[in-house]
Amino acid sequence: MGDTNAIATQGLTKQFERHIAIKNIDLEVAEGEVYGLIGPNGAGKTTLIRLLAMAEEATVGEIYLYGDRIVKEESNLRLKQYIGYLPDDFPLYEELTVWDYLDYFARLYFLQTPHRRRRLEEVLELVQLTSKRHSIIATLSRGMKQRLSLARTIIHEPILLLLDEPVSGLDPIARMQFREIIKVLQSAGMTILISSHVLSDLAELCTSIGIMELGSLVESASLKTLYERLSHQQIYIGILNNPQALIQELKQYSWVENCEIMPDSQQVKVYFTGNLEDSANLLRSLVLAGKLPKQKLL
Amino acid sequence: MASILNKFINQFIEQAGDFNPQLFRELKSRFNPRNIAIVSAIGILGQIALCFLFSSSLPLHPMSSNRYCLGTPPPNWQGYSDPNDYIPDNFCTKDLLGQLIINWQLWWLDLFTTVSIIGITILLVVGTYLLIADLAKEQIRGTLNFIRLSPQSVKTIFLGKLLGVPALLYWLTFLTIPLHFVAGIMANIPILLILAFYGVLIASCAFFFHLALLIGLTNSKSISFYSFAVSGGLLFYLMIMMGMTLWGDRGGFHSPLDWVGLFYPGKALVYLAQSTFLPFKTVTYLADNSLEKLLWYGQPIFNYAWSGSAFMLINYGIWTYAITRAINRRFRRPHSVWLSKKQSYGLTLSFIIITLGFVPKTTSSTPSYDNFVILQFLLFAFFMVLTGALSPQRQTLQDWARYRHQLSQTPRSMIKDLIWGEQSPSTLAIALNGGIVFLYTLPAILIFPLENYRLPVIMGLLLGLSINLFYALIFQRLLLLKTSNRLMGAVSVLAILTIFPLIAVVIVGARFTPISSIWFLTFMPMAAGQFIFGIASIIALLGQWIVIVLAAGEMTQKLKAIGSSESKRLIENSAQLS
Repeated sequence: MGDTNAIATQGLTKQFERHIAIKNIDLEVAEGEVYGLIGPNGAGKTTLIRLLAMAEEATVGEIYLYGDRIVKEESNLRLKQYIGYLPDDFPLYEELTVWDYLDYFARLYFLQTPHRRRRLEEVLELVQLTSKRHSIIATLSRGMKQRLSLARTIIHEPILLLLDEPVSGLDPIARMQFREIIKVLQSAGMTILISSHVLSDLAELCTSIGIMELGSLVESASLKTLYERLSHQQIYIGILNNPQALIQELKQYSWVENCEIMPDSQQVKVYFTGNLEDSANLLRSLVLAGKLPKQKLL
Repeated sequence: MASILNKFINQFIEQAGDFNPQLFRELKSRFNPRNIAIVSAIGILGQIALCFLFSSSLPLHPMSSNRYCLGTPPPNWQGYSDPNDYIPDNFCTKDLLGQLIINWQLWWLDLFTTVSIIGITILLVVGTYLLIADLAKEQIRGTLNFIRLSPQSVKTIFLGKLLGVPALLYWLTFLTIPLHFVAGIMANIPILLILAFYGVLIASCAFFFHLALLIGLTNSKSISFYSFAVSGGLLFYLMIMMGMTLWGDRGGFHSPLDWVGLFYPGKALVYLAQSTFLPFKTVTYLADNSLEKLLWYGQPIFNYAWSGSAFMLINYGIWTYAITRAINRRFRRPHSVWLSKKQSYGLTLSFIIITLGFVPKTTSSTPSYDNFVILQFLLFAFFMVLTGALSPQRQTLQDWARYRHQLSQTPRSMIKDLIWGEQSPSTLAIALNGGIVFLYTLPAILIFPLENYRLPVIMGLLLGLSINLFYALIFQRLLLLKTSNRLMGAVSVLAILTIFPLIAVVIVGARFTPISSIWFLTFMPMAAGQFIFGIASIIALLGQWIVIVLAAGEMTQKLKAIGSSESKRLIENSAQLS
């Protein structure tokens, strides 16, 4: 199961008391992908990420990471090394210096000297905190703390990054810096699952998108497929008679990709690639051409 | 100088970090030159002050009385202004060189004992407080989750915590060891015994500190309060035990309560004082014959330092191991039960084996009946802890009721699941634990000197175990309620159920009278004495079992209802989605 996928879930469900936070989710994320998880607050994004990060246990269902199943009631120590998890809040040891903080986590993930020292320097450079290495964490700005948290997340070179709303609460410059870092990580070949409730946060980063609503994954596809799907509107035009004439007329418009007569012969289904303004123009042209549609349905 | 010290400390922390990453983080936060300097100053000045204090108690002039003088007053000595000042053999005289003859061995023993008692108290109370407070801070701040998600084993993480959080306290202890060790040697205590005492002290630290970590893992908003409450409670316990050890001459209670006293590491000081061969009338504390009277299954194992210390170490070992198992579970899965059912059976057997050993009174002419009453009290306390440790929370029970067949990779029968399963209700497991206690105790009841109390003890034990099972059932059922603070509610109800019948007994004054049937409603029915064996007790036992069966049936129905209603809802939801 899931040999080629970085993440694969089967019937994943998480229930808190009477509230089902995650409902029967089957998710597949291929290796090397940047997968964006979109949905409003309370859609279940954080719960799903926490389940994948092993911060919570699923009520029922299975999770496979790179083909290995997360075994309930076990430590899963090997699988934990695969993952870098950045939660939406980012608690830190405020009394430590930046270097000591990262050094501690590097040790937790078995990084040995001299590689550990080299890795710390690399990561600090990546998150642009080299100049702050001896600063006490409490003295850092929110953006710096966020970048430090990301540095902590990637210190052990995980192959799967789980980022829960990583740019929320950051100013535009900090957001931009953060996105640049994620692009670098993407180019390094990490599989990244990133959540946000704003599509624009993810649009330029992700290769695939999953849309969550009320605990269910209502859509999951590559960004290209999703754009194609979104750009193909279907318009139903009601007709009184002679549908062939209408089709001939419609084929003259560049926004019309294809047309078909519905079985009741009362409607023509139009595959339309234009936007709302284009559909208004189409309607106006049809009226002017004397092909007045009975009604328009989207 | 400061930079050299700093470099040395950093090197030490680096090396410690290579051994244990969690230790690295704990030392980085605490083991800095400033803190070390403060603690060192406190340690050194404290020792100097103690030495001055003891020096001031040495005699200065001859012809006076002092604890550390060895002479006897000359005949017809009339020098005391108050006849009460007269202490035989403590008269201060000078030797031929004109020096006061002083019992230096006693002086060093006093110093050794004082440092030991202060050390034990500070180490355990402050250490416990620091560990609970540290985990509380980690939980409130949210950093514990990161440690939980790391690939380090629970053992590594908590070893780091145990060694690192009280690091400054260890440093303080380390600074005290030279004075303590020298005092011991000067008091003529064998080195091996001093080392054995250190062994017992380390074992007691391991036990109490693990317990502190387990309490620290409790998911409670009041965890900060717990650190004060637990360390305060521990201080109270240590003070009581210190008093009993230093000045008690009976060697304990001669009952199963002696097991409670075995958790006080200062108990081992008796062996050290014995080894000096100073007579008790000179030392006046740590009575040398006190442990001789303490028997286990009639055997004087506390008579010898090696067997007594070994028993203490084994006792610490068993309970520390049980706590480490609970820590392991609670750290990995914060909502899981504290103990698996399998572990609980082993723990119950260990408990009854150890405590039952203190029941027989072979040196006394009176039968051991009273000790069985005390054992029943301890069993009640143990079963309450066991109930808390084995009872799953509402969410877990709901999941078990709804998804039982999907949760396990290897599905098993309902009975097997109730006996061994992690998420199933605790009731059957508590009943089995009760069975273990009964089966182990039964032969002892027949062998121990109980005269005509054998049947009352058997009946009392059955009644007590049944009522413990009833409490466990009530507790588990209350955890299934939908109210917001279920745990607190369940604990409160149990407290009422256990305390009110006792109050009723006190009001009626029912001990050893025919009205003593009221005791059957308490967790100590054995206290009803000889009246326990009669028609009333048989009716009480049958009544208890009927109530237990009815309550168990009601809970089964409730769990079935939860499971079926949820399945129905899920099916409806999926039908709607499709």
